[in-house]
Amino acid sequence: MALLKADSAEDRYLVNLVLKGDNSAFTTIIRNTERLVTQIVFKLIGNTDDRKDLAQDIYLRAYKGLPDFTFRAALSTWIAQIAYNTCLNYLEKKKYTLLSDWEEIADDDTEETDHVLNTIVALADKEVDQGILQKQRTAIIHQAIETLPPLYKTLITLYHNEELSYGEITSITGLPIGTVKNYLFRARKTLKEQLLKQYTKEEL
Amino acid sequence: MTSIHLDENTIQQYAITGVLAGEEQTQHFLHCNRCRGRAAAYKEVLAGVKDQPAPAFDFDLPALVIQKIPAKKAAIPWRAVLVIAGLLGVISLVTYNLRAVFGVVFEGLSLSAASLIFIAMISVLIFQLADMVNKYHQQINALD
Repeated sequence: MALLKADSAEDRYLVNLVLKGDNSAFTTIIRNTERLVTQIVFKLIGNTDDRKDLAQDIYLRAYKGLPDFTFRAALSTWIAQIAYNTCLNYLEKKKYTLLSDWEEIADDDTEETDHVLNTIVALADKEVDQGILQKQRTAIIHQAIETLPPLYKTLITLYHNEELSYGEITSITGLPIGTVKNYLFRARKTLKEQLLKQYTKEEL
Repeated sequence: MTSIHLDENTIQQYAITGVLAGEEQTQHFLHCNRCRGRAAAYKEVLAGVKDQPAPAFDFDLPALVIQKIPAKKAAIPWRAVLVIAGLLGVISLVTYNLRAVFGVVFEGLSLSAASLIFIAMISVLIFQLADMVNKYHQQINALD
């Protein structure tokens, strides 16, 4: 979360250099924020070529908007906001929606699920075969994340991978904090159900 | 100890923060395999999410962006100013040297009429020159 401190001295220094015409300072800004922007673009946009164009477009917009940047948010939050809105405009043009054709998996209280839950607890207690389990788990979660709608994927990534606060996610997406919390809850629940379903299938 | 299972939100928050609100919830959790299992499943999910590798572009994004940033134009186009000043100088010299000829051509014209003709000529020349410079820049930009 250190990356996203609002109004950092480094942000001001870099922005001033860019405004004076120093393009290498803008390169530094891109390098500092590239990871966050990449996460947003990859989670919202599926097409590889479009991702490339959008990533460039995002930073060109940021460059043009830099004279109007007021330092009320961290520079990275502001650029992430541009990234989110640019992707959203693209999706709207393509007639895609952020939560399209998606249904949550029902939470069924089966005996099998109970068996899997007991096994997970036992494995967690014993801490056996962590290497194999970790690889298996990463693959299952990867697959499960891919089935989520783009908006859920983005929120899960921003909160759990990039460790942004609810406030920062709200600034980036423009969604109310309650909606962000609700979507995160539903996304985590779906991932858990998918994980349990997969473990049950594989007779863990 | 309560026999009611912890709700989904409480389990999720426990998996994230490791904290339960109150003794009753804690006691239930410690003795309930089902709730412990659900919390363990959420912990697995969160660990799995954290294990996901960060995506990366297979091209140099900063280099591509910097290439597309237009070069900043100088506030005053000194070259254009110099060219115009030079042209005006040449026109003034020619006019001064040929003043006898102009005297014959414009004989009988009032000073104000002659001035108007002169200003119109100079204006047309300046506009043509500006147009030429603009077209030149457009062609150069198109080539870029």
